[in-house]
Amino acid sequence: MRPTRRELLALSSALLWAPGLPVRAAEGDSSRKFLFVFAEGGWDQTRLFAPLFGSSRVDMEAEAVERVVRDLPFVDHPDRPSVRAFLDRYGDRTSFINGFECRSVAHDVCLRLAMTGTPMPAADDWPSLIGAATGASLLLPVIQLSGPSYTHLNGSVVVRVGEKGQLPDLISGEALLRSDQLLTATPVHMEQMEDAFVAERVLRRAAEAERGRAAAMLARAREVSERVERVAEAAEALEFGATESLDDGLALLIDAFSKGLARCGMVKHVGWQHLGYDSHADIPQQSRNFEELFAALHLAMELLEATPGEVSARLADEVTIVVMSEMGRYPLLNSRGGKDHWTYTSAILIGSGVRGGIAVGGYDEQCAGQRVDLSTGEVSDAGVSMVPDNLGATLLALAGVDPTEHFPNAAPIDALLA
Amino acid sequence: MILALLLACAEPAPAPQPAPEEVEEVVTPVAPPFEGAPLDALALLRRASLDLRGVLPSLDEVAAVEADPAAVDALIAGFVDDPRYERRLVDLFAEHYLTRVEVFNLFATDFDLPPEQDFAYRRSVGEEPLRLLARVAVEDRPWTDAVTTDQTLANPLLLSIWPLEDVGEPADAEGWRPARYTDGRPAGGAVMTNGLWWRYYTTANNYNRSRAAALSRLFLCEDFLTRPISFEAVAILDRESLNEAIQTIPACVGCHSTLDPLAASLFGFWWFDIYTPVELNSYHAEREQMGPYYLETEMAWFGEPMADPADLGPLLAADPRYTRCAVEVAAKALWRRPVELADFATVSALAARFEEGGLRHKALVRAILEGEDYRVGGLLPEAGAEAEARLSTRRMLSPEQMESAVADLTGFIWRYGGYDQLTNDVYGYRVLAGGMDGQSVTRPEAEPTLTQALVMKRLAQAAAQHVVHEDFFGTEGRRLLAGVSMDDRPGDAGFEAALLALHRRLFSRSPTEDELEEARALWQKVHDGGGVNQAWASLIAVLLRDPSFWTI
Repeated sequence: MRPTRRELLALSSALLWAPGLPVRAAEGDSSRKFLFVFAEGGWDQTRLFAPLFGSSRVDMEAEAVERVVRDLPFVDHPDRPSVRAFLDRYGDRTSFINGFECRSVAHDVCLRLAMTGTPMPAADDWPSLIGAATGASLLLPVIQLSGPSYTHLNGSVVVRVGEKGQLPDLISGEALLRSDQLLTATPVHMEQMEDAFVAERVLRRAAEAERGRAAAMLARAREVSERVERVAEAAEALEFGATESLDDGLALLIDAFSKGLARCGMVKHVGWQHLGYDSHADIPQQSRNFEELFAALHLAMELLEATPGEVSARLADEVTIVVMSEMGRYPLLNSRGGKDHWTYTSAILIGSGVRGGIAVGGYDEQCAGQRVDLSTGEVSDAGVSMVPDNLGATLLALAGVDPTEHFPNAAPIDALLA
Repeated sequence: MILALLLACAEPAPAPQPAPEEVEEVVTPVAPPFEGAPLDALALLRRASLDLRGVLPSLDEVAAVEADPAAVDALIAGFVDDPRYERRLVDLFAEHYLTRVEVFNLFATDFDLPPEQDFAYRRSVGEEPLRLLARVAVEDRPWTDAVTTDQTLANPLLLSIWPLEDVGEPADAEGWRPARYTDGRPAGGAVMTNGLWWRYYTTANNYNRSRAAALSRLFLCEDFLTRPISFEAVAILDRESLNEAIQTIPACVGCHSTLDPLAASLFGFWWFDIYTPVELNSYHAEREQMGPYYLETEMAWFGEPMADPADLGPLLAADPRYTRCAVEVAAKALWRRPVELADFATVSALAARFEEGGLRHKALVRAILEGEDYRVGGLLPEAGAEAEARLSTRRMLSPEQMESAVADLTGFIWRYGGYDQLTNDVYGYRVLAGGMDGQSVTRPEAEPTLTQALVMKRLAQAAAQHVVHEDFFGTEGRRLLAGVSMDDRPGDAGFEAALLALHRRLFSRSPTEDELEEARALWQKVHDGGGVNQAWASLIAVLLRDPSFWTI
């Protein structure tokens, strides 16, 4: 006698959590969402985070001045009104992490370090760790619109949209039209029959599988086939199509949060006119980038404030925005009017769970990161040198996940936790 | 301008003094008891065929193994002589060397190539070193040739944009042929290719150190970055002070004493501008001595002096770690899992065989195919948690395997505007299908994901639609629906024979009666609403989405 679908489901669920398989984090209870914005290429800390006026070892820009919002110092400039406007309005919910170090100057190594804490490939990045720990049961736990994405054990929680937004076409079937051969979409009711058949088949295979990786793989396939059956409706609601600009990308991710579909989202800021942040020449590009970035963040915050949350009146109270770049820029100008790579960099945390209006850590007169007391955020010789693991631990703590399992040697930055 | 820290290293701990009786002890690595159970012969045939040829076994091969399971060994041993093996090796090497990326510092437009050649340009550059490695392997030359030959492999596109000459040997079906650089670069096989160093470029601050680290990681399987960091970087803003620190601070010396001399040998690939063709296209022999000048150290290979960069390939080839690394790379690719400490004895045994056999890659691959780790399909009852987590008892097809297997089955290749949709990320679905982009995704997905399932769904629908149309209305002979007419219905002899053959072709085994019954039911249901064509198309599509098809 063949087992029923219910029996198969029960059996394959048991197999999914079979002992001995690579351990994934158990789902936590936090409803906090994380919106990652990645400024890829290496931003110039002297355009925002490091007001090192007066240092002969640092080239600051003309007309820039130091301003302070609450206890948050920043570099202000007439060309960046959006930065000023954002911090004037949201500075009380914004904090900087200054002077943490990705110990390399190669983009690929620093990217991986900034996102995972290690240069090695066998690691999951912050969004996938959080997604697996607190949102694995969601339809689209981690939406990666663009930007870096590193997965190891938790690849199944990451839903990549593709460089040109390929995911919606896959979901709708329009992908078939992107073929040199003439193809037609399968009629919807036929497709539903196909999906149901496949779901049943996968269920059977999962139940038949022996323990070990075969069982784990097929249990995952079962879970995925159920998502395939549900994803079209969600995609239609999300309007995946329009994500060309940073504004659109942020809006889509916020929409996904509001619909309870995702726990994390990642979007890359490609810079003004898509010129990026890797300014080996033309350092003024950095200023244009920050201006555009903060204009987009401003819109995102307004949208979050206007959107009801899952458990709060405003989604703004449930979303933490994490803005980061894999490296900083060398403090002195090079011969081409640009700045080269620098291992020290900063990150920005905004919103839910964040103690705003402060800057943690700092830069010395050579623009090197300084030791910091993680409990107060103050620069202190008795403190620690911050590395990406401290950021990762902080994010996990914000997500309600015990960071010690992942970062036994790096503490969260308690000063940032509201 | 220099950065304080380029690669961090561990402070060397003082070596403990062994007791006299310990000095004599020789530790022989012993493999732990293997707790896996082997695949049956048909499943092994299927796995090996997809791994080494990228296609499913033929119905004749399936029948031969059904009749005599012992025949499988000879069959799969011959797969390394199949013409499709070279293409598969390129795919497998890509997983380790990570050169098949979407972005290089130069674009097709920098060479006035038309937009429809953009994909071909990206893949040609990235595959140059991989093609050379694969060619050395399939020609059964000693593996040392891979890093010592004065030739590379090039296709017409590369011949048109780089300083290369065709050496006059025949091209393969894809146009790749032996070629030689004409810019005076020393012989060095893959380590003297543009493709490798375009992927692993260096910046003005880095002075080839990241390239030296890549060389070690890729060809010796030794990663400087795995060494723990036991100090904090200090901001040193000039090159001389940095070099002094690197050469005197014990924590730095541990890595940089070997890394910097190696980096010093790579300055023929030093570019003054990393975005101009004239700089990137050619090797610059006149810059070779800039390495010792900038890094303030002579060229050397892990302590062995180099007279000039021409010594690089031979010294690499003579390094015992090179041999062992070749074994690890091949094992990792075929086991579909990382090589770990528990594999030490197995890898050692394979390396010994590799050396005894004159470093022939085909023999190495055959040896891996004979091993338990490759053939594992289940677990013994007594298997523990470690084996359960580690052994690859089932593997998922990569996008490249999926593409070639589906093309072979159905004749369908998903192309759009010159791009292979399963193997590019710009417009296509490589990473979404579980593949790697060589930069942010550097290992194939081991388990299904939502996007992998969606890609599989659309690929299956497209391929099924194509093959049904071609089989019923085309002129080139039938691929999957042999002997069935549009009037045949479930229960008719033609229908039943086609249904059986379809299952055997896709799954390399006979279907169960339940499977056949479900297939008939789906066919009938779709037929009632959509007709014969759609019924067969839907049936083929769902069988392609069955894990029995896309796992091995």
